[in-house]
Amino acid sequence: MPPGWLLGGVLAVLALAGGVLAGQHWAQPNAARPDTGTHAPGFSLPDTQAAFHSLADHAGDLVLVNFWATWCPPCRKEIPMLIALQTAYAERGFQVLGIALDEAAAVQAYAERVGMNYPALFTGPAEGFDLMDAYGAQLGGLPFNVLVNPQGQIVYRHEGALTRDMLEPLLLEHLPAKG
Amino acid sequence: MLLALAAPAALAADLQRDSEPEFLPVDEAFQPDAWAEEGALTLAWQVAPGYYLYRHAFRVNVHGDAVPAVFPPGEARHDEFFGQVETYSDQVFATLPLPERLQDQPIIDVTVRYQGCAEAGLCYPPTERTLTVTLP
Repeated sequence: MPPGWLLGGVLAVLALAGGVLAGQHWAQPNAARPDTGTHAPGFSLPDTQAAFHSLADHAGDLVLVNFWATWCPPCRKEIPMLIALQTAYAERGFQVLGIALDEAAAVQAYAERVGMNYPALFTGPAEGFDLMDAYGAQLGGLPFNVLVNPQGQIVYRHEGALTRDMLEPLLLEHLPAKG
Repeated sequence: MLLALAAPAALAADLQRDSEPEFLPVDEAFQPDAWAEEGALTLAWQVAPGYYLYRHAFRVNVHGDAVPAVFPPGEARHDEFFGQVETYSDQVFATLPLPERLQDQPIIDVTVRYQGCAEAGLCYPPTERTLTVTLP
């Protein structure tokens, strides 16, 4: 069983407080699954250095919200691919935001070990799964990926591991126009 | 006008690409059961094809008290995070002695916690379910 749920929960509360202070808000779980094309719910979550990141910070970027956990093998399997895509498309306005439903220490150690080049955010499980619900997850399983276009709309989501062949064409389609 | 029509059309194309789940809901992937016989509780999980449960992730509470359940050896699997682990596919049974103080109860609540994944690339969070067991 993953340790640190309690710590994660406490920190998620801090994240909530931070979100309120930052003018953001936690998405509430939706009874109905939001369609793609709808506006992505806002969030504000801490990274392992206690710096808060929000979706609004990346307005105008193509954002991949990647829900994951260190205890989830298929989540770890796709992270090198996400690192590679972050490197390849950062200058064109692509940003991965990893949200780990996990404890801070485990996230930090793993992010350092694999050389994660995008924010490694984390939250407690209850708040994390609520946020996944708000993004349209149906199974509550990990990984869960959601692509948010530069206009802030959900354009794609996928429950289960992604491959580069699945993701890269979507990036090329939705990356911000040059200029 | 054409532009106004083109935007919803593009959105519709995106809607069609919304990835539908290829995986089972957790309660179909892993179906727990429990029953009592001869002073013991038997716990069972039916595991759907292509799914597995972690041996180390099981927790059992009877009427709120953690109790040690005996699980059989599982299939060896190496996990980068957990190290060497054992998993179960198909089905798994565990037994535990029925606590003496509960043996005269007509029914008892057994809370089981477990965690598993799909081989095709999805992991469920720890799942907790409470089963009501009628004592013989």
